[in-house]
Amino acid sequence: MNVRTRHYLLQALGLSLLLLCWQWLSGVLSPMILATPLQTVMRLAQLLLTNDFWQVLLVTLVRLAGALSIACLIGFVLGVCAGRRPWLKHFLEPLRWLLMSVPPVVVVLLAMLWLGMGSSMVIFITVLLLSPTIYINTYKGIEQIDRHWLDLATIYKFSTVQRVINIYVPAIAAQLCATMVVVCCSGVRIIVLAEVLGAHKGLGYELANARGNFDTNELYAWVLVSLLLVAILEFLLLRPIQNKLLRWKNATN
Amino acid sequence: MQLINASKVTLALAGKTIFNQLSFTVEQGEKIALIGDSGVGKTSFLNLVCGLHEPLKGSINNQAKRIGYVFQEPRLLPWLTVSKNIEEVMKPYGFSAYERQQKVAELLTVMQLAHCTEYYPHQLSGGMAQRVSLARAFAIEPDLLLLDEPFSALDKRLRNQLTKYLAQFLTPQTTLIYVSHSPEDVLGLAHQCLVLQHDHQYSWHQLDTDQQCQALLDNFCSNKAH
Repeated sequence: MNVRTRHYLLQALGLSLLLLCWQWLSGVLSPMILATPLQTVMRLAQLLLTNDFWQVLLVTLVRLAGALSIACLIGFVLGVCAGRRPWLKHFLEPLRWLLMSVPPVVVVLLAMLWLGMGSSMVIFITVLLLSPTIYINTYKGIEQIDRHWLDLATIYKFSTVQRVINIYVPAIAAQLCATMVVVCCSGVRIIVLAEVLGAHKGLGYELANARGNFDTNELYAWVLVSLLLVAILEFLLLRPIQNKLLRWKNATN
Repeated sequence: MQLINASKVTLALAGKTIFNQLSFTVEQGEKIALIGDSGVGKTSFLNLVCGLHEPLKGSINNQAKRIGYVFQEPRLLPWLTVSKNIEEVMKPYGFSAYERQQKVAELLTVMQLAHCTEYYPHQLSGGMAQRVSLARAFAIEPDLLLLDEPFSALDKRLRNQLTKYLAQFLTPQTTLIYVSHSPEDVLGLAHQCLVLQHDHQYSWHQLDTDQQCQALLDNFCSNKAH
């Protein structure tokens, strides 16, 4: 058995154990509190056949894509600049500390006050809470880049774009990929939280509705959707990007 | 034509004075050997010339538009293939994509590395990686070539082979500053020699005849022995 097969088997075993625990708990607890895995999947199957489900999913996906793109852009650009210019790092430090220390629910409440309910509020909160994580990991990575590569770029007159593509991104790729996994997972959580508290549409809004209607099966079906969303992001988007960026490490003669 | 002009340069790194009141000029096409014991500032001299170090006092004016630099270790970008490592440094100098590919193929063929274009640096031996580094420096058709003991980690046979490649690519217009702590490697290529000493003293020596080379070599070796 090769290493990869072994890893897949272990992951399948872990997942089976979680499902068994869920099944057991749903037998012990009231159906009002916890739906069984089968009830959840059945309800999800029903939802999949409706147009509303896809519209709700699209709203959340657009918000997620917009928020992640803006957060990545701000976090990465500021991280690269701060990594190269220590004065900027010191200048931004209080803001970074503030954004990383304030509880998310406080940001949600303030954003609702400033921007009202809807997409702009959800995206604003997500950007505000995620960009510091990307920023800090980027500048820490940039600071640790081998000085020799930067000297090489200076001598051979690399443009800024060349430096970013050929030195900064590949040099911090491993760290950046790990950060992106954390950021994407947190992104889904924050978007859903913001939608529960202050949106008229979206996955979080449907969760809140299902809870309000005491529809436990639908509540867990939406929870399952949010989990699948994270899985899709991690395994179908981030993993291939990571493999592409780090493929040089696996090259053999 | 004067390519480099340094006037009363003082260089200090981490609080330590490396050069004090250093003045020199280098004409285009000159081939200069730079020798001296470890720690006298040979690498710092090259870094000063190419602008990586700023002088504390004095001024240095370098007219070279294209500077090729071969370091002690190859310094290839590990995530780029051999061909990309060379191609990438050519981009800022206005070579078209076609010219870049042609140049890379030509250089790697001469360096006997045509089969390694898609290799990553970790797949190369030390000698192969240093040959790629040399090809990268020549790819931009430099008017100033700086060599910082590029072959010091290699065995005698490889050193001779790479010196041969070096001589093959050098044109009369290319200015060369070749640093080495073993003068016998560089004297064959150089017209004059700059000897750096620990007490911030330096001296220039002409190397027009074999006798001058031998005299310098003997002098350098006897100073080392003392």
